[in-house]
Amino acid sequence: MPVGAVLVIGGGIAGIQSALDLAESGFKVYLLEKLPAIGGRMSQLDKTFPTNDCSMCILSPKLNEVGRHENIEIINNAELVGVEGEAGDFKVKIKKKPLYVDPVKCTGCGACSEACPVSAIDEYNEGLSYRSAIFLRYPQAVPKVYSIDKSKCIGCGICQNVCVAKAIDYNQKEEEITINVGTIILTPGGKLADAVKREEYGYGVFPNVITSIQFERLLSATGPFEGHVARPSDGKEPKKIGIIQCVCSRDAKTNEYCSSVCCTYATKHAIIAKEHIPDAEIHIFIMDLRTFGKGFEEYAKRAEEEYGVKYHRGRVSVVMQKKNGNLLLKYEKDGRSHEEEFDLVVLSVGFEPPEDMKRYAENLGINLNEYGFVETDSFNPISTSKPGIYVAGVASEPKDIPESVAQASSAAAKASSIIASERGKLITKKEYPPERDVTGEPPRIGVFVCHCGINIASVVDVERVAEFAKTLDDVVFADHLLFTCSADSQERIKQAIRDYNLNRIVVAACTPRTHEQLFRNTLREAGLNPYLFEFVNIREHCSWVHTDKERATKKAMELVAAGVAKARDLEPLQYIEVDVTKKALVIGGGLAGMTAALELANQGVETFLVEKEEKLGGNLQHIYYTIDGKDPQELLRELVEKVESNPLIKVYKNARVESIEGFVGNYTSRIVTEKSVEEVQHGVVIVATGAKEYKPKEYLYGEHPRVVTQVEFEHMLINKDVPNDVIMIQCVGSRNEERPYCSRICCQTAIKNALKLKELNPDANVMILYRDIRTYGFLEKYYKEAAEKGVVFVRYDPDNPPKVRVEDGRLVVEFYDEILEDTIIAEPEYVVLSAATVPNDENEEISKLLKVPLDANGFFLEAHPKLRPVDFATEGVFLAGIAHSPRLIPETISLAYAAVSRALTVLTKDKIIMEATKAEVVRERCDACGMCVKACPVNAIEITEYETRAGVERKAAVNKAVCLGCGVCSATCPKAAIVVKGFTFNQIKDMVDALEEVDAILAR
Amino acid sequence: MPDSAPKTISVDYNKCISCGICIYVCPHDVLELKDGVPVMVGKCKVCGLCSASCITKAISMTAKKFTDEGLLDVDVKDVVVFTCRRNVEKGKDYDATVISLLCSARLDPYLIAEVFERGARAVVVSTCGSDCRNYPGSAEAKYKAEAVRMMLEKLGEDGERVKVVEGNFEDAINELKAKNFDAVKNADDLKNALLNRDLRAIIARMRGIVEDGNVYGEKIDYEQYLKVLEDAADKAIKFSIISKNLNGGAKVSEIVSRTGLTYREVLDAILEMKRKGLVELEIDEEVVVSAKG
Repeated sequence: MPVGAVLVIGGGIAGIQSALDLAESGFKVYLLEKLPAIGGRMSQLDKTFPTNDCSMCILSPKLNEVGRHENIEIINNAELVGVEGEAGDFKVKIKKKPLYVDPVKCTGCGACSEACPVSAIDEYNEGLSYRSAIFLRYPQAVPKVYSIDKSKCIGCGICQNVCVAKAIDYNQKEEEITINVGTIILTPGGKLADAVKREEYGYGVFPNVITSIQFERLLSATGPFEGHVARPSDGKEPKKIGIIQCVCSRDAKTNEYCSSVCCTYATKHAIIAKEHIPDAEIHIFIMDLRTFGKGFEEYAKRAEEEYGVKYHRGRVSVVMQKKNGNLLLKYEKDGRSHEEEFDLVVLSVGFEPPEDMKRYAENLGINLNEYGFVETDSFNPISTSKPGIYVAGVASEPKDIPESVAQASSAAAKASSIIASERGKLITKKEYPPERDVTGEPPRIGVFVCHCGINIASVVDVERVAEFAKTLDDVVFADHLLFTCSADSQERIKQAIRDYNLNRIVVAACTPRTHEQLFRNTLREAGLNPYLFEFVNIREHCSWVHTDKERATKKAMELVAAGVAKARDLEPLQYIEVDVTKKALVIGGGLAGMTAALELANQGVETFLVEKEEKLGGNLQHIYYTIDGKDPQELLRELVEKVESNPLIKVYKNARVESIEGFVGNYTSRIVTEKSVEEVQHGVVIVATGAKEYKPKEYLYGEHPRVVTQVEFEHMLINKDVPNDVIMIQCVGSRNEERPYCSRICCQTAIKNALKLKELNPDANVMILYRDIRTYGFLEKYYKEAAEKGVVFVRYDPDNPPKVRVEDGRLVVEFYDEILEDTIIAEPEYVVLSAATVPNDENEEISKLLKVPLDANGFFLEAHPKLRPVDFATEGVFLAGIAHSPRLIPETISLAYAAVSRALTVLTKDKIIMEATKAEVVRERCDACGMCVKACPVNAIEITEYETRAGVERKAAVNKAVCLGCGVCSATCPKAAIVVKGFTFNQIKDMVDALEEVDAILAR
Repeated sequence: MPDSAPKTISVDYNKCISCGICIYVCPHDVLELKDGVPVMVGKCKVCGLCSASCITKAISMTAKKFTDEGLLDVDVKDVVVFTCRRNVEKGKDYDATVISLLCSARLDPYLIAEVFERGARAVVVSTCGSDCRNYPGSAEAKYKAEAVRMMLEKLGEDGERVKVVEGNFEDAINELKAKNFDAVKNADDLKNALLNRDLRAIIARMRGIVEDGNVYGEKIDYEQYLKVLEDAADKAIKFSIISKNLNGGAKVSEIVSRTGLTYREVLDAILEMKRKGLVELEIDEEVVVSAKG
């Protein structure tokens, strides 16, 4: 019998996502973290690209969710000792190091840390500040428990005496525990390379040469100078910052591979630094600009055009320090050497495998690759060499947060696959205390105003806002908190509810979109109905959009007054529960769709797979080999066979989805094929509609037979049509005005095909005309290999692209060579165009059908680019494959599994809990005019007949499961006979009135 | 104030942070923490070690004569002797200021700094060695004097100004007088540093941890502990130098030019001062430091 529990090793964002997916789909999760707090690298970041979201603000709700999840057990400050057994039944030995603090008793008050006489380097701030020997890694840490750094502690005993909670326990001993799990997910992340290895840059010698992660800490509100950038040598604000890329990446001396994230994070650093120091000048020294992810190219363009960030193509050879602490950078550009002075130099350091990777590999019995990362296979990107053990995030290859999160969900799907029979066996249901009946109680309102680090407090005077709140009627308690979303803040809110007998809570902080559930849960935990909560957004509505501090503070007060006014009228509401149809609809039968359908079926979910073509396979049908020598056609055959023979999968070919009605857990769709129209019921939808190769209008494509695309060229090579002389042109139809995005896959495709040509015809001449070679991650080695095998790479400037013409029937390519500083004319046999990947034409139709958005480029737009890469904002609808954005086979597979994992969090529940904020008809006032029925965008209202004493009456009625609570009906009804719970006329009117009363209150 | 409030010592409950150092050091185990404050649970022998070790100076001796003020109510000559009263010959006229403690355990290192500030050029500490009636009180005094010697050297002064002897201290007075020391420069920095809570804690626990073992039941090697002590001393000295030069608010560059400390030292120190709630930092082209509260 397999075990219905999973061990996740590493509590960074990947581990967190795996843990949450698994715990939400019926498995017990042990989350092993070597540090006292989870959060990993992401907890150290200030902002995240490409949206500049505050990293802690999007991470903190996840930390809290893990911290309070009844099915996740965090084993912190611990390490893996040994693993026995096999897939389905592992016995894992774990060494728990003593915290010397009892996590149950510790309240996180910090008195110990304040009294501790010893200080030590603060690792969280990357050595830029100090901490005590007893410390909390960061203010929002989960679990919120202090711990003693025994290597620094002198054992003076002060902390024990000052701890009011009596939580300090010097007698704690190292302890070994054994847990029993079915599968294991490895998410230990990566470490950052030691910049000292590139000694020519002077890191560790020149104080004003810092690493990218140190810069991140300098920019952060919880950093050494609270987000002010002060350079280490003299505390002055740097006005000219140089950022050096590829430090210990793409480097023969240290790591050959590309670290994938640094180009985009350096772009982020430049943008954020400009926001902190508007008159700063920022230069980024790059080899190639590798902003290949979704939205990254546009981000770099913004950096250049809006923020004036300068990118220099040229490797810095040496950094020297001047007497005043400034730094001289020598670099080569356009064949000449240059020298430039900077106030601060930031080294964009790359990823390396984590310190303990070898030990993990030994303990788990898995293979590592040539670079020391976990070995995976491009068709099984989540599986390690040992069955039952999976890997996600940086541990298998450098990657950014969305890719790590997608892989984490993927790993959750894979890890639950072989233990699916044990779903629900080891979990417990979260119990809330009984809800206090507040009917008849006068409102007793508590207001919590958030600093959000400096996100709010740097503009809005939060202390004054809190003081102001105290003056409002019915407010019996008001406070301001550094991060209202942190775990200890939840405890403070609950404490205040108890101490002051509060029955309405107002939080003035950020957005309900990300944080409302968190606070509602806090209310439930304190025995209050979750709808007795009102959220006021003073970040997006005040501090992020205003610069005038005084007026922003006033506006915050007005919004708080309005929030309090609404809070007075809040009434308890009950969540709505609906059943779940445990079936799935997958739209698109390519690699992503088939992978998703198969995994769903593996997990026992009946799946409808709709393919518009007559054959399954999509783009995979046109890929004949991969860069690492795998056979995609074999993968295709295998998948098609498995899908078509699986009894749980019903395949519709030459088919399309005509309509989709319903809501999460309960969809009804009409699938139309040539022969039939079928109506199916399902609980979720996975959109895997793929994308296609652009048919170029450029470079005589379609006009000259020997101008072909990469897909066509690959087809030629496989048919032994092997030319002698080829010029490839990159970025055809990508990274231009019309299509500003990078198509991501074309650089590797060009190199793949160039290498294939060289293999078939070693004497062939191949030249690749490129803008930036984007062989990210381990693909870098193929770039190197191609160059070694004589493939010639010549960069062109987008302002002066190559020209292709025909002279006497011969193809002529003219281009400018930056290194030779000359225009070259060549006559290749073939011109191969690396054409863009473009969205499918049907996307628009599907987007309307499902009411899910497309991005500016026509690809589907996920719910959040960082932490919800495969979710749509619409619940129950998920996204997989290249319908999301252009990507390679392993990445496509990873998104497919990820979508399955997310879908399983819905499909494995018997009931779905829905918002209670729905429309409700006030029957006495309704005269069944039907205006609301017409206005409702989701057809949730109909006119029905009721038996009353007066006879049969016709009235409007709302299907609450369908209703989105948008309020259109309410705004349309001429008789005010339909209201949305939680947003009633009176509540809104009170809010508006309150706005006007603020001046009078302030004058009191 | 609790019922069992000690009579021989006075505790300022506003200053006491419940650190419990007094309980650890008391040679007769007569103190206990109750509701976060020290209470007397046995017979106090009035050695004064708790007062000398109290990190916030919340404990003073009830007898006026043995309070800091009482002890320092003397004319300071070139040499000042802090001694156990048993080592003082009655009626003898010493060529030094002799401050008679009930026991050398009462030696608060801050007192040494204070007499230097008031013009003393050298200090003799006389203990009863292993014969101390409040043992290890005498040993504690020796550790404290050593800490002051170390700090003097950090301030560029000769550590030999402070000499620890057992019993008779006449030779020591003559020896130190013969060395003709100048007045201690920046004695105020030494004094303020010796009021630093963290430094006082590390000094106060040194003997106990090195000789008897810490809360984990482990002894820390003397040299290793000394490093921790030196770090804390360094920091405390810089804190006092910087605090003195803030004048309401100063840029880092101003502090550097006023103090002669390097930028690195100032930046390091102010980050720690900020963490300890002593200063506030702002940035306007460069870091500006102002005293808090």
